[in-house]
Amino acid sequence: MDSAGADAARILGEIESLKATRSDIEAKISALEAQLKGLSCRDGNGSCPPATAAGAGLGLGLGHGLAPEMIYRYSRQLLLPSFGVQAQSNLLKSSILVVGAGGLGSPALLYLAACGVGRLGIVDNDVVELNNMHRQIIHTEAYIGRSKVESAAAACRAINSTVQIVEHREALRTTNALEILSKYDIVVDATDNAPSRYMISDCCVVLGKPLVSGAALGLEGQLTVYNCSGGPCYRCLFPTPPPTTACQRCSDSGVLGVVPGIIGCLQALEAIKIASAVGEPLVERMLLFDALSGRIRIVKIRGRSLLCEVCGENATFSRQQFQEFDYEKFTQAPLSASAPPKLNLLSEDSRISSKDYSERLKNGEAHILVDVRPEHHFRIVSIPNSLNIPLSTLEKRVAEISSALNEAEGQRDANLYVICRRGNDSQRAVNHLQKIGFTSAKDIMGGLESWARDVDPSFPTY
Amino acid sequence: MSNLCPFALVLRCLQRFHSLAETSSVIFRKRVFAHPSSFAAQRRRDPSKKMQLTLEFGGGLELLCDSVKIHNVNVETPKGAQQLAMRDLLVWVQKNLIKERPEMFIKGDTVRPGVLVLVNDCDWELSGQLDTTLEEKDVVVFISTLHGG
Repeated sequence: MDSAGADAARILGEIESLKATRSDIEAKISALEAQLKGLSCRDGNGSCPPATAAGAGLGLGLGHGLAPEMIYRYSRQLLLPSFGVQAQSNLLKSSILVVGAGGLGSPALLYLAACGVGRLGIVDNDVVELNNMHRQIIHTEAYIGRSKVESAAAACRAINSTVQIVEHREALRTTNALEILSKYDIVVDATDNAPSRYMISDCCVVLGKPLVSGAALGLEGQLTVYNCSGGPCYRCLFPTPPPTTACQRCSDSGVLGVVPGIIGCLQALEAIKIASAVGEPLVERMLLFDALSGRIRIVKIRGRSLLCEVCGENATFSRQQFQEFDYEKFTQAPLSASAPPKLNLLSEDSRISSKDYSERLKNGEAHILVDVRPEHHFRIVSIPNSLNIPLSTLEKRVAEISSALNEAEGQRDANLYVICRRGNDSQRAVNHLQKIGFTSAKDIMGGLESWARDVDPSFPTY
Repeated sequence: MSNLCPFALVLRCLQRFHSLAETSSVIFRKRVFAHPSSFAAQRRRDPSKKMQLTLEFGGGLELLCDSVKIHNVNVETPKGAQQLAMRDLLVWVQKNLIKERPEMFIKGDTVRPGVLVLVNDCDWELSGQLDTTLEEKDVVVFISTLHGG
């Protein structure tokens, strides 16, 4: 009995392999025919399951359900022995959701649309801004001020009108995540903040979806696949959220445009591999990219944690628990990488508006202005005659403030003002300066941003 | 000299890692070809001898050590201890390399949440975390997870 079973399995395997070879040849013939005749498109996507309808149904005798135009469009992928018609057919039947149409999502979406994913969803709530353009290459200048989803969808449709593009012009929240994610086979996390990453991973665990996760900042990038083939979820790796001070934003720390571009491309690749069922997904491994030293290392990471609160052995994380979970509270960070919340550390009389400061400047008041931004920020733009003492070096450089005050007109009566980019670090600095005896130190509320907004509209912002 | 046998090294790799993934084969190469002399024999003779390690910081953690990413260091095995463990190395790193905001690196007796520790390109969760013992020429990477995009 056993040997008969084994024989049957062997024969079936051989049949499958011969069928695949035949499909490949037929695909090639058909591509050439299409080229020759310029046949019109017939949407056979999914109408003709492979292996059962070989030699029937489509007139041309194709067993894979690819219409002639599809064959021509994707011919270079069909020609790959390790990809071929079966993988393309799988891809055409798959659906992928990209969360975030920013630096990572831009190249990911472009490639996913181009390669022939069946249905491609885009979630984002932002609008296109000029300072996005260097890295969010899916958007064009004409779309500045308009929805990123609208812009990205138009770009995807322009590349491949045969892909169904679904626009989700809303922020992903626990209230809509289950509904949106459940409509797709694979999720690509192209977001920019910690709470979103926990939320998306948890939602993928609840729904049983593989998650292609990428991140980039500065000149470094990271990539891995979660909740796939028995591998770990995001929480297995990071059960406790990092302190908020460790979560840097592109808008603070900067990012070289091509770096998220590279990671986004790799995310598209991983999603394509999973959707088409080829290759080995990056599970239990993490790719670390260091652009400056030109190094990529792939490291082995832990597997699924039996103790994981969401995907572990005794975990009972339900849809309802997901919907009630407060990710912003959990990570102490907002579900968008917008500017940090405005601090209020000082009393009213220790603060001055940028307008009031400009009045005092006009009146020739004796004072010094200390700019506590990092040096490389100061080099971008600064208020004339301000003294740059970065907050991190303030303690060591107090003497410079004292001597500048002594040199200033009016000697000891000279006032001390402190400014930064947005008005938080200046308060921290004033707090410190007042404690060590500079009791008249004042912070300029809202920093250089308010200066540019309320005093000098020609002052550059960044 | 005899304990430089490649099989012994492979065995050690196997013990340390759960599976002989591609990372282990990298280590295997590194250990065989980058160890021309008998470090293990030296260490047996003199257990307190300094150990040469490469420490790397990434994902922003380098900012805590004067923005230097790669540190080639010599670390002494603590007195009375047979081997240098990651537990000891963390103390050493905090004392010798971390120049500012130590709370961004350490929390309690281990690394703060959000920091991945890799010993020879392998998550330290797989080798015993703080109990992971180190060998001459090991590469230890501390990397802060990124959230940006």
